[in-house]
Amino acid sequence: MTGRAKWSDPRFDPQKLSDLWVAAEARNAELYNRYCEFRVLLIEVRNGKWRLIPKVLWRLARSFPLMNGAWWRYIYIYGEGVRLGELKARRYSVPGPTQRRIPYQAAPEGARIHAPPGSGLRAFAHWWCSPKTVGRILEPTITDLEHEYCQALSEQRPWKARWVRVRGTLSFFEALIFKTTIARILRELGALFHGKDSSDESSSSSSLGGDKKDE
Amino acid sequence: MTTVRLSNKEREILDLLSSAHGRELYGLELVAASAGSLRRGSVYVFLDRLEDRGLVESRLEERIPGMSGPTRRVYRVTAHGKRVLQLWTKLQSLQMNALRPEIV
Repeated sequence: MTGRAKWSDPRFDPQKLSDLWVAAEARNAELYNRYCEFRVLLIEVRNGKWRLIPKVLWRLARSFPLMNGAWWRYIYIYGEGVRLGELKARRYSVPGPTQRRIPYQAAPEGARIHAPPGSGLRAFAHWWCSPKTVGRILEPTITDLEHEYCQALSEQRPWKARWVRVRGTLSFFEALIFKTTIARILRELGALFHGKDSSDESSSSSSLGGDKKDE
Repeated sequence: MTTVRLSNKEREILDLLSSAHGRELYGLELVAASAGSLRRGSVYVFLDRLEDRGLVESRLEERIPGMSGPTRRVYRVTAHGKRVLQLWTKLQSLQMNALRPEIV
């Protein structure tokens, strides 16, 4: 794909989804290797929306003695319509200012840092939940979101893609709530008071006696 | 002797998987086949519970050349799951037969 492709761009070819993600990651690494000269704690990619949170995190991190070393730096890539990417440093211990502004316009043509839909949810899931829950419940939910999103884009329906994204996010949190301790407590309470599985929206459940060893 | 407890949704999922004739289905297909009774947010939770009880089994879809996007998790019903479903269907018909004279 040439030019600055955006997820919501109708020209985007969803058949090359994985290729695009790999390319985006490679581009991130290339960008970073080119512009980063020292080890960083945090990368901020600015587009006017992501301004506050990284700055607060940076201030918090600086308050810890270990993080206050001279080799930690704060870099931000500046540009319009740029999204936060996962970047890692290679080199460090280079003296310099604690902040460095890198104009995004200096980046190679076509370089655009952007994340696939659901990548934030995926990162959250891996941070918050057990690997089993992620692998069996949350990861399939996000995968469905991604496939549906690309399907909508392939049909040249960007507004449907946006709706899929919203609905997928809601589904993700629905699954998360279903699986959490709160859901378990509600289920137990439901079973206690009504003798049924309260996590099910339907009204009845049944039990069957059977020996699994027969199989 | 183990007691298998099934909710309506879980029975429906088992029913859909067993009616796929050995074909493995993923969550969205189940949601689409259920005509609105299953929801995207909860279908994998029910499938997870069924898998814990050995009624369904899952695997990650194999990546074939030319396939794009992340791999899906696909599900199929186990022999134990089929047996449980058959028993439940039998039980249901027995209950219906028992109720019929009262209705008439």
